[in-house]
Amino acid sequence: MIVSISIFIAIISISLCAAVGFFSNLRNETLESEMLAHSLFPGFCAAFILNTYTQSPLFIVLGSFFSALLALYLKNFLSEKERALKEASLPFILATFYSAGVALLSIINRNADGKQKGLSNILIGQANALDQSDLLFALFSWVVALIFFAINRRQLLSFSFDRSFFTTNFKKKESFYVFYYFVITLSLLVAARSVGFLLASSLFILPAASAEQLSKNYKKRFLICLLVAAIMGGAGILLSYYVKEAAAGPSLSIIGLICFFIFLSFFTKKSWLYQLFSKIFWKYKIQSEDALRKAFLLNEKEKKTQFQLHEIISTQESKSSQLLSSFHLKLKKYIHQNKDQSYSLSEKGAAHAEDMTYRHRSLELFFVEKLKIDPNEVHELAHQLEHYFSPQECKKLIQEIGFDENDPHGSKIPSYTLLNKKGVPGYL
Amino acid sequence: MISSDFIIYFSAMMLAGVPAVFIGFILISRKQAMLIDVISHSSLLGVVLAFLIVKKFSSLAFFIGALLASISSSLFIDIMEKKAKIKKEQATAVVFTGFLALGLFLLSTYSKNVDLDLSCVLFGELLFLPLEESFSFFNINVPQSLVRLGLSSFLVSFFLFIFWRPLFSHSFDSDFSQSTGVYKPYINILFIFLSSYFVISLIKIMGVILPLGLFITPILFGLNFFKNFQKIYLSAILFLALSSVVALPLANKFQVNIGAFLVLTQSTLFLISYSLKKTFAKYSLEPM
Repeated sequence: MIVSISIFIAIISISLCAAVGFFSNLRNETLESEMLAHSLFPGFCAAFILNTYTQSPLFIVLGSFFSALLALYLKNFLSEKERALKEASLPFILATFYSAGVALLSIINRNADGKQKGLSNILIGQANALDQSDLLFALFSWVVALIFFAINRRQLLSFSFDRSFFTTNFKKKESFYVFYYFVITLSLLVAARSVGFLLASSLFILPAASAEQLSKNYKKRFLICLLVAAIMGGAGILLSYYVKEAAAGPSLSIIGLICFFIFLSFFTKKSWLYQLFSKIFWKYKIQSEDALRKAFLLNEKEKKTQFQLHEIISTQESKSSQLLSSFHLKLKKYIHQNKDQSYSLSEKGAAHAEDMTYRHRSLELFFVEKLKIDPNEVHELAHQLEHYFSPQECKKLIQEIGFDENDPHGSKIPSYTLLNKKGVPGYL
Repeated sequence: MISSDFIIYFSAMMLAGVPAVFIGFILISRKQAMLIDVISHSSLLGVVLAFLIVKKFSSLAFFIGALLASISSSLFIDIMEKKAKIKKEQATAVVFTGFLALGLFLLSTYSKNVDLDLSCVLFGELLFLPLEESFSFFNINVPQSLVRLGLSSFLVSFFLFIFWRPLFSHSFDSDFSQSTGVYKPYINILFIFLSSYFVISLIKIMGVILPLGLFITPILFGLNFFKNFQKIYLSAILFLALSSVVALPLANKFQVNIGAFLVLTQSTLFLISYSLKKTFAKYSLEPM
């Protein structure tokens, strides 16, 4: 019961951060949240000191907000003209504000005599021990964020997608900025309560980054972003619950990281894993098809129905590659082993081999008859292209030529048979 | 009056500063200023993993673990940028938050009975430098860490001096330096190795944030006023010396964390100089 309540609170907090981080990801300023998270730290400490060493939400929000605004003004001041400063201003501000926070923290530790007890939680967070006040604060921040979105929807979208359109078309930009960064501050404070200042930026970065891998439509992306946030909240709290002594904040971020890598690896066609697998798939497809054709030629020329593996698999490849392609042939049941340790083609293998030969010879015929290529050169060309043409396409080539008895080298072209999904001739 | 503690702190700052300013210059001109942040964030994972493997405190194992983790994080960013076609900023953000999260997770899970103090990692132990065991050279006591820092500083400076030309030319015009063959890919890996090595050897003494201030702020000050590399470098070193002279006694007086106060002083001095330059820029004779 306690777990489900804390999961509920965590999901509400994290989805707010994900929604806010989504828009800074759209602007390609992913690291902004990292900078702001560090720059809240001195404001937070200063508010604690000014309020005579007691934690009150109002002071903390105001203090953090002013220090965030200060950081942003400083960043704009630095990166206005100088090219070198534009890149370096981010770590510069990060270091400055963080060290100011550390200096204030050492003052607090000296003077507060024990009143700072809850303050050290702010560095690592306590996502599995969130209570009613956190829920109220997160809901309040959600309401503020929704009001902001309702009022400034068009401004926010044009600000995220097209800065020059935004600057030319909208007035009252300053009030928009102040409101926007107020929302960011609130959500950063929510994040700091749950995962701490050190990891606060991960709640902003990871859901948006994982959603970007899946879709280009921004509405879909936004929904996926919220979904990832919900997964992070649920699975992260459960992870910290079942793994002994695990801190909840890092567990949330780890779940987000896993989501990001899964999306990056599995769900897109440009993903490295897809490309790797398609590369391997094509390599073994080509090798096994070549092997089948060699077996067919052995049968045709020397009337050998039984053969050894080294006779059909190319020995120019590496040993491991030969082993893998022989394994592939057996796995696909193209060949089967006889009692005297030799191999022969199965029905499926024979059909496939005939099909490959049909493609090869029809391509050769087409090249010579239609494209007028020298018959001595067409073998290499057809040998490479046969894997990429389907038998249906080859049949169309034959229909274009008009006759299909022999290929240019005098070998007979096998009859066209349509293979079904199992690789066996459909109507035999 | 100059106390012996002051001399120790000051010499530590200067020893760290000589290679750090150079590395910072190259990083800023390559637009990779966040790399220091990435290295210092991801080193935590290496330390924790080394602890899990070795199962006892050993500075060497921690050092090697941190070095491997930070090098792999920066290579990881490169791979994600080039192979998976992810924007550089996003790759940086994902990698360093991920490494930090993994490190904290493992730290909280496995090292319950161990006193790995987080504040020690975050804020450094520069204050305790004079209290360490020390060698004595000519009646002057030199702490062990300072000797170690001096050695690594000398090593890094030596390698940077050898590979000065390719690094320098690559940071200004990467296409030209690659096409003339001055720059070779292994130099990039060597540079990442050197900077990770140096940042990590600093972390034990100075914590995670002070290196950022050391590497970046002095160079920003130099870039603010000069365009010649030698002038930039010398002015950055002078700036570092000046800010240490100002900050160290004050930090001692107010009793705040030395590293943090040094970074604050540097930033304040830099901001003053920057705004002064901006105000007087219109009277410059240089054509715009």
